[in-house]
Amino acid sequence: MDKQALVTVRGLVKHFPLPGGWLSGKRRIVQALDNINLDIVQGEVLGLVGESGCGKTTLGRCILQLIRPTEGSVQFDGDELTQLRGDTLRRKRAHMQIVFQNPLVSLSPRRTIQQSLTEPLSTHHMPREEWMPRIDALMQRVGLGIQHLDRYPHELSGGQLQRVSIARALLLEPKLLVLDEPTSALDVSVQAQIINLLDELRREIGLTYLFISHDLSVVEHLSDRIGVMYLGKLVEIGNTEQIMKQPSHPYTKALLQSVPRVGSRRMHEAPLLEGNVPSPINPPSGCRFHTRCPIAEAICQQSEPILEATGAAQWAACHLTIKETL
Amino acid sequence: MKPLLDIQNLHIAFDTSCGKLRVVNDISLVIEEGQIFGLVGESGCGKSVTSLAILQLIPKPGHITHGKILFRGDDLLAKSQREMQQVRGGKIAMIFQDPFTSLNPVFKVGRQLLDVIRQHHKIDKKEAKKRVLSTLDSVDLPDVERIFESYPHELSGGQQQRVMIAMALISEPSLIIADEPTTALDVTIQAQILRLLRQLCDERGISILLITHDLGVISEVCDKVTVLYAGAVVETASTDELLANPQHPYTQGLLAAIPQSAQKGQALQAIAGVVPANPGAITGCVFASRCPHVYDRCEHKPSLFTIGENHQSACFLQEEVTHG
Repeated sequence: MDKQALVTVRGLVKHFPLPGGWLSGKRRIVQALDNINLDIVQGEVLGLVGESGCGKTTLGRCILQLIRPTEGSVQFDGDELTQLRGDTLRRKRAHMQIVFQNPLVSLSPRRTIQQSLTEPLSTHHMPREEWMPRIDALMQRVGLGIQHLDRYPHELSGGQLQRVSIARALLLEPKLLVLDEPTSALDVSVQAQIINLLDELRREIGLTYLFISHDLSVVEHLSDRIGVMYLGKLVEIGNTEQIMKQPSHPYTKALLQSVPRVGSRRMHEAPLLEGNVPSPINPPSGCRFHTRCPIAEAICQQSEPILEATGAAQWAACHLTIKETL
Repeated sequence: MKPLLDIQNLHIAFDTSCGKLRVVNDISLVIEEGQIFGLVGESGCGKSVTSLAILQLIPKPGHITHGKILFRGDDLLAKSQREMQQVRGGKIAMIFQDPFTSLNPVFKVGRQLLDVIRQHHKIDKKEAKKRVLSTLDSVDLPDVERIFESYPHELSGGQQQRVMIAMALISEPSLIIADEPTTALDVTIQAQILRLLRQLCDERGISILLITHDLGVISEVCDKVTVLYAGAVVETASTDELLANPQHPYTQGLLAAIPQSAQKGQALQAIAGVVPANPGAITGCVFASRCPHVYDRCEHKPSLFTIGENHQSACFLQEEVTHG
């Protein structure tokens, strides 16, 4: 990779032990993330897709250390985040911010927009005289006015609230923005406004995004590269165009095929993925996708595939596609 | 032949402390036998409340102020609550968005299905169970004996939605109302459920009123579509016609706002502004405040103009094109 990586994730593992004491015998563990390796390059948008429970949100939060990973390393801008504690970590957080899915829940209902926006500035000890100029400038940039500052969250629409959340995330001039399903709670016409705003901001300020979504069309529109996750594993990663046009992994193929698209009518035909996503408590052996994979062979049950190059800038974790490309 | 469901000039209002909120204003639609009819629109457009009106399930303080709902020529609004109980889950069944909150968590799945059968038919236990199992089997659930003995939480989201569909099918309805049936599901599961709905329609001739916000879903399975905006019908057409040849500026805007239709790197076409809060108070076209083509005639309310076979749109621009 020619450009510098802003975030380097190596061997990231996250296990959540389930409640249940020593009386019930062996403690059960949710294997939310298993050996994730990826880079987020300075200035790029990395899209992360997958179905619910695949670990995409957990990965976003583990990168920001909102959830502490069980194992592995996360390097951000030269620092090993997993080693940082307390105040040092908090200072780092100014450079990496997050926008959540539902702005009505992520903004305090009892505070005005202005109170919510001054919070990060005071936490990070910005000089008080800088507060209002910064807030005013950002509110304008995201398409809101000073008249919105005295309002409470319930007085604004979902789209306006998401603009506030984006403004709040940008107040400290971060380098990395993790966007966790930022448009999923919005209607299509409003979603388009927010996507456009995110795209403009990124070009103007040179931000780096980790864009998490289950909506492939939104991810395709915004991302330079896409990572596909399944049951806590990164199964494929590569340039957006290649992933969309020539997916290597059978899961990526099935996912792309399943998305309902305007202008298509395939519900009469197309063999779709059968069955359900297995539980991450007891994930299948070998390749975690083998229970649903249409092309699975004996080897898929026994050994776990690792990410290998299947194209110029494309990697997939599948025994069979690797064999095919060799 | 009479249409299966004929909604005529439906008006629905909610009495609130700030006065009467008229959320559905003059909606008419016709569903024929054996078709999947899509009702699409953004949140607050009145699509769910319209579907609830069919079964007289509108929560208080909402009520139907005007209109007729004819099911095979029979006016549902004239029926008593007791008569409606036979219609609900009998001739007309409903599937909701979130299967987990629609199923009772403390009873086994089989018991809940048996309740539905015995509400509508006088058959003995053994016969009823046989019918439940065969219905579960018909929605492609594996290992139906085990599912019969399962509690809802023991099933996955997709399986729960299949159980809901089985529950809807059990008394052999002519119409299923499906309100966002796949919104809570993942895409690969969504595809399975949509395919199942299409099969039910094709193989058993059951009509489905499919309510969704997703034009992709409409495109994949629906035969005919009505687009709602702020409690009013803005456009009705066959699916192919609507997607290929959208006439109303709102439908055009909605289609252009979908990421897939835009070129990568270009800005998406967003619709400026927000949905009006009380559409009933607007005297002109409800979309005028956000419409890029607004002009002086839009101060009046447009009626639905016929612009082709099976294609109607509520916009003065179309009237001028078709009538010169």
